[in-house]
Amino acid sequence: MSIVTKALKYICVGIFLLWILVPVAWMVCLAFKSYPEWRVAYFFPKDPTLSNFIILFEPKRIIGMMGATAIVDPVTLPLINSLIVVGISTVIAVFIGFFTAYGASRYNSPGPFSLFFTLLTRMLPPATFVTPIMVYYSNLKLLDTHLGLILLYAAVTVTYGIWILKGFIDNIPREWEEAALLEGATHSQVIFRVTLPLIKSGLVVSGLFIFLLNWAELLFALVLTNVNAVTLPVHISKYVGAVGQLYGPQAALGIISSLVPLIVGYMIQKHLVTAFTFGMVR
Amino acid sequence: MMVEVKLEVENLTKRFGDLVAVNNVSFEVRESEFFSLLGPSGCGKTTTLRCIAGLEMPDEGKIIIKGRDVTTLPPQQRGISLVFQEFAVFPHMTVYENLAFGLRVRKFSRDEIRKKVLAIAESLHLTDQLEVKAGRLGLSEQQRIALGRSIAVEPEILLLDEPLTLVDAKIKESMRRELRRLQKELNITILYVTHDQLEAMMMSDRIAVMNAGRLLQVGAPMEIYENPQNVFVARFIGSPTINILCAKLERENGMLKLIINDVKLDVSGKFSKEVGEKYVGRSVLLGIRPEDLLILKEKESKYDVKCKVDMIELLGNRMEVHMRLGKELVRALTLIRFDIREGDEIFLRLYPEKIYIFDKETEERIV
Repeated sequence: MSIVTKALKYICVGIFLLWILVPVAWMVCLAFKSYPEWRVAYFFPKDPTLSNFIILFEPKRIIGMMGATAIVDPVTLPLINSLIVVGISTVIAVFIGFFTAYGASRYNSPGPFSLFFTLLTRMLPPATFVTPIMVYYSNLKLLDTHLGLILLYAAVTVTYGIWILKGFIDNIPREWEEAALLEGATHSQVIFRVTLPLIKSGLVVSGLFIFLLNWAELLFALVLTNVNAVTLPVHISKYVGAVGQLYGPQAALGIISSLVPLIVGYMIQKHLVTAFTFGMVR
Repeated sequence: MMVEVKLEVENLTKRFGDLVAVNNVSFEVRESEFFSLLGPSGCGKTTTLRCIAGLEMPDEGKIIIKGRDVTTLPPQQRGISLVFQEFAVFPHMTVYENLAFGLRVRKFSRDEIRKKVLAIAESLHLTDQLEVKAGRLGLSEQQRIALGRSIAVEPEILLLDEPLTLVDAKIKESMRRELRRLQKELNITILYVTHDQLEAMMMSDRIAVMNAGRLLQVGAPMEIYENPQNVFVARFIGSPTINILCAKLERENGMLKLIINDVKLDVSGKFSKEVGEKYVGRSVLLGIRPEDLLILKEKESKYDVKCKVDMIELLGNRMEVHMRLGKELVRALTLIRFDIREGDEIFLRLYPEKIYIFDKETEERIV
């Protein structure tokens, strides 16, 4: 490769990275700026401070300061809520997704057409069905509960689990499962000892994908929760609005909420490589 | 001594929609036998195997393993193992885990598994690779792993589905010998599916030839070679392929003569009176193997017929001579002779005892 094309390549990658990373860098810098600097258009804080982070956990400090007019609750509850709701709904979506995908891949049921329709929940704009769901939930006493959010999140993301995992399962030769059957394994042993280990990367990747979607989900949580089951995105939105323009703490919370997916992604790095090379298990 | 029958297939029929993949097939496999199902691709041999394994449900017929009717039992309760064409070695497990798989799901004790796996690894020369992930190994190792995994559970009968198709010609030969050695050494009953007649001839105790879903003939390799029951079997076994010529049977001066174009061949000795009568004046098919033809420079007997050499192909130490006998094309296999050239006129000796005669309509063997 000539130097010119190589240089061009790096420049392209550089521009792409800038495009993605500048807003992130802005968020990080803002998180460490003190109140007077929030609205100033330069990157690096002149007087770096951790007060924005402290405010997240002890919101009482800001009454009357920084233009705040009301208390925002501490971040602990939304953080825990998010972990519970997103964690459990992801596990459910992957679990159901796997078995649906397995049936579709191995037995061609319920036919390709119906499988396509599992995408329906993603084709409609969520805003169209969030109101009816709110009505149902209020009758079912599911408003502002973990269970309500978990069910909804699992339901709308399970389709990703199905489609991603079906690709992985299709890649596994049937003979491997038949061989295991003939060795004396039962159907469930075949699934747990042969199929599942072979699509580990697929499980991890679909899990991560679903986790990220649910982790950043705002609309459903905003409409369906109020006090008890508030999630992080809802909480983040509260810093700018009725209570004032708390850009600093909002940015600080942005960092905290990005850390979780970052840690998860780092832990499963090994699998991501195999998965993004499209799951060839051999 | 009575030989125990390991597997009986009775009137097996399997349809896929309108296609009859297996049509009323019956045979039996005896204890410690190497039995081959031989046929061209699509003849139903693999479907037969999958029915026996329990991976397909037959539409009609019975499968009996060691006296037990297993037709409706799931695969794991049949006492069989299957080695697939692609071997189906579990790539995410080590060689040891692969070999131990069947024993583990059958809940053998740890020590027992260890003992058995080590013994099998020993006889398959896999001891050094036990801790290697199976997906990293080459085809020949994978074949041995697949074989070992199947043998480990001590099946009543081991099924092999064209396990050598994907292997290089070079390794193939040694793998064939290896397989045969193991079978003898461990005294396993094997049902082997292949489309390669040479492979079947080399390894089998008995062969069943299939075509278009039907079982055509069962017998020892030599028996099938020397006594084909119909044109298909005669053509399928042997290389180069048998010569099949159109001929007419006629009576001349009280003698039965086979007329091939303008050549008359005395075949009185071959026919019983009744059969001869039935076919006199009718067209028949004459079969003779290229290796049974003798090439002569001069006419020496009444069985020698004149031919013209069309083409000569050298096959190492032998040669295949293509000739014209009247309008018909005939091939002969002979040791290399440098006194024959393309265009030469030579004589072919057709030994009557080497000739097969088939009915022209049914293609069944007459004599």
